[in-house]
Amino acid sequence: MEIVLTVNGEEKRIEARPAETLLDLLRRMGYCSVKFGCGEGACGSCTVIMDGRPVNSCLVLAVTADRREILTVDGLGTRQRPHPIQTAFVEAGAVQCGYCTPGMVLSAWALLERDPDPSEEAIREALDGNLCRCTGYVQIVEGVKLAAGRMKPKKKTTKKKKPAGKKKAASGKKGKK
Amino acid sequence: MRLAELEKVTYPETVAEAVRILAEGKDRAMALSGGVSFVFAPLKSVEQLVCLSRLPLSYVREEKGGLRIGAVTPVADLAASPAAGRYGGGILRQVARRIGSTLNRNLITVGGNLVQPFIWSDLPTVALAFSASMVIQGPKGRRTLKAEKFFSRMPKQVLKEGELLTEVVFPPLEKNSRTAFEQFSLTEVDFAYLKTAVRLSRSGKKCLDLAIVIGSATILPQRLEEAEGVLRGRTANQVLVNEASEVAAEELKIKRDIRCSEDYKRDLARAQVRGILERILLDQKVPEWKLF
Repeated sequence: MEIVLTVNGEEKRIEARPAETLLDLLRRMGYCSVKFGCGEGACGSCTVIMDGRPVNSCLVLAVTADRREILTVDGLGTRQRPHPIQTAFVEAGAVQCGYCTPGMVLSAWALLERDPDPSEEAIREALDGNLCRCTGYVQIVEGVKLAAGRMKPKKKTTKKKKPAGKKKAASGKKGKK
Repeated sequence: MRLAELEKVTYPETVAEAVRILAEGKDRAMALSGGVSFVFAPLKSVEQLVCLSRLPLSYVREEKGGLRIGAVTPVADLAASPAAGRYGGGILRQVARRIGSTLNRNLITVGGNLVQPFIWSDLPTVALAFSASMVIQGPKGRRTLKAEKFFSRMPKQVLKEGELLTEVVFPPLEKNSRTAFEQFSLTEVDFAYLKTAVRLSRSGKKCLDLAIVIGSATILPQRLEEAEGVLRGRTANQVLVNEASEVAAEELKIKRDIRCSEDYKRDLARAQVRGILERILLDQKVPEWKLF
């Protein structure tokens, strides 16, 4: 069955097998950052972003993903130009064996897209479907916090013009020091 | 997933089109919502999958104090819905937040969770406690089934050929109504041993009406009508509440669970029902069980 997928911004026409999962299809297409873990939606190694939402690609029948937009970690950053979340993960030591990392990064990305300043609780909840067998959760949460701090849109501070009189008084005090 | 005979996948954009395709396909066509249950439920051989993701059935709307939820609404949306948070003490939202993981909740749909219940499912228990109505569209038109009827058998057997659950309607609650939902599990990620949902309306200590529902004892949630009868229309006191919880524990049917004995589950049922009634009917300060 031919389906049309947009993967990392590129439209692809591909023949999907009837019982094939989106995970298997993406790996067959060469997106090997999408990992097979449990095959039953428990571990999050196969996380992809489908139409803006993080999902377990092992639970999605490939034929039902027709006309959907898929984002894998390959579409987020490159080795030369990594995404701020990827950089933050490296700096926080959030990568051990690395098997869960693509899924973790994508879940973190989805969280920061909708909540640029998440609490630790929100981070933990957003990553609750991604298991790290190396149990490096502390560093992973730290990595997301670090990325959030860097990606947070800077607030536009409009300098209020102080009344002329007050300005003079302030400068006057400064002068006395 | 056994889909060797799959020949065709359709993506209807209207309910009428979906119903027509399902009716024409008879038992060789199957509706697919989030698709998550395919991993757990043995799949009969189908030739055609009718993918429901393009139907305009993803919404949570407040209406006259009640709530209308489209069948294709991901439970993640229900968990984030302010309208669901305002209904019935926010139980629906609380329960939706607990279904699976964040990744699962983006795939699992409200309709799928109700049509294909598992012993761990939470939404059927709540839908039954709130006497929700299921709006079903079929080749012969639309019909509405109360949750009591919908969960009298496995819902897939209740739905006739070509029929599709399109919407769940949670009715407006009476004044002075109180609600509670509690469940017991050993860890945050464990499936609940047992869960209890209670909805009641009262005037002072007089219990005007109530629904006591227990889930996870069997695949389908059970409404405990004998226990309800102990309290309905009567002025509640500790003796009656104790009696109601005893009756609830006795009338509960229990499916074998390798994690604990049947007696243990009966004790859990008794304790959950009594604790909830003491809190929301007798106004006692009974600590809530930690809801993992």
